Amino acid sequence: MTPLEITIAVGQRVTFVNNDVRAHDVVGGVDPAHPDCPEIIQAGFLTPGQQRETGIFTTARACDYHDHTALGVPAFSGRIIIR
Amino acid sequence: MIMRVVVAAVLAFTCCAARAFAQDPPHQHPTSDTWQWGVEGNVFAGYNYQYRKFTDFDEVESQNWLMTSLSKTFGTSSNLEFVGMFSLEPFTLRDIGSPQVFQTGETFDGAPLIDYQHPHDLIMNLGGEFSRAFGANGVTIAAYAVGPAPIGPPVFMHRPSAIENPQAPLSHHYLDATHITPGVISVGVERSGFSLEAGAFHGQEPDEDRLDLDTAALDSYSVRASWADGPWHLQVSGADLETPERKSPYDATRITASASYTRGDENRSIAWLAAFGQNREVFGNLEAYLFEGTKRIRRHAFYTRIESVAKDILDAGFHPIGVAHTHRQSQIGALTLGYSRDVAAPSFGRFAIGGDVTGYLVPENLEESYGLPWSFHVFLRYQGRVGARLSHVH
Repeated sequence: MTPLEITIAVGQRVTFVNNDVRAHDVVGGVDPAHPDCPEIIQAGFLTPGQQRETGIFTTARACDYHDHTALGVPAFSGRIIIR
Repeated sequence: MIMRVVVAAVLAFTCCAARAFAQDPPHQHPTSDTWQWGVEGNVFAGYNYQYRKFTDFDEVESQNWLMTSLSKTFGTSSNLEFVGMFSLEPFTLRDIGSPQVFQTGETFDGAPLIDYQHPHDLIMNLGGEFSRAFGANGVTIAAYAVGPAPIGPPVFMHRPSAIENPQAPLSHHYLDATHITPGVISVGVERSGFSLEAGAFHGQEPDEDRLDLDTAALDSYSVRASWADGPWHLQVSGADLETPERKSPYDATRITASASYTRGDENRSIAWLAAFGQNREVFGNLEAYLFEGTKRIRRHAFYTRIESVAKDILDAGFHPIGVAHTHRQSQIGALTLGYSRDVAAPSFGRFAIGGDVTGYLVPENLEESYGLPWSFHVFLRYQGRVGARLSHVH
């Protein structure tokens, strides 16, 4: 995922765009055992060419996310920092 | 892309074989007291277009397989047969596979494949069978380094009802995906058309290295009961599969049932198959229903496939032990209509041109991501055979 880390302001959203040739599934937390930041799951499942926004991040914190279809693949995980 | 076409063309023109017609019922072994060999080839080379909501896909590609056998009859009641089946799909399809909307099964780069049909391994089958008749009864013992586990109907590549169709069924991994299983030992008994088979095999799907020969422990089991009489063939089967999906720590149970009808000759024939498959997993039970048929009238072949398959595409990721949850299911419908026409029948095989169109019924929970996709294929197809007709159509 590019960028692997992004910083936004409280009250903003993040748009995930799938520019790959395969589907991806964006989920909050470092892995399925540690779900976090429910705003992220609104981006969710994305087919190639599809894009979708997360929910509004209302509190300052750091949100890790991963690709549910590629668990454990470092290139398909990242972090959103809300300030 | 050009390389893939060239390889496919070379394969098509070098499979020197006589005219083929895959209408054989299962489990009929050729009988000869001298060693007999046979080679059968089937090659599709064509254009695959996939219309999607956001990004369309198209590909020039080739699906292909080559079956070989060496057999001998001992006395009047015993038969030994060695079989090998090979595919150049690791070279004629992209590494990720053939684009096919809603297709699932196996992995690429460590992630489950979605919307792609994986390439088949270079070595699809390698092993042998020994069968012996005891009066009206028959016993068969089979051992494969890689081969078909005794579950499900014959794999789609061997089915007369699917022989004209280059596309794998969406239900492939619910019915016949264990046709490439690393390590299979099975025993079967047969009497008056009824047969009962039991097998031990490695239950996990092949790895992503399409060129190697996987070896692994026999950790899964299956049983298949079938009945064949004339054009009819019925089977019910079940399997306990040890961690069938790579990287997923959970086991599964597969249940299948099918009925097929195959009648005719090279000039006029009809073949159809109706099948049900269910994968019972910790994530839920996923069911698939399939009907497919092919009608041949001399040089013209008409084929169709109708499927209704429950997919868990929206939750297709892997789950560590302890965090499994019920997956959201999407019941997908697919209808394929196709036609092929023989254009040349030289002594070494039969060439046809053909094409098909597939439309899909998309459930509500996939509409936002998929819309109303459809696809078409146009292709050149070669079928050929030399030597003995193969009996290996499990």
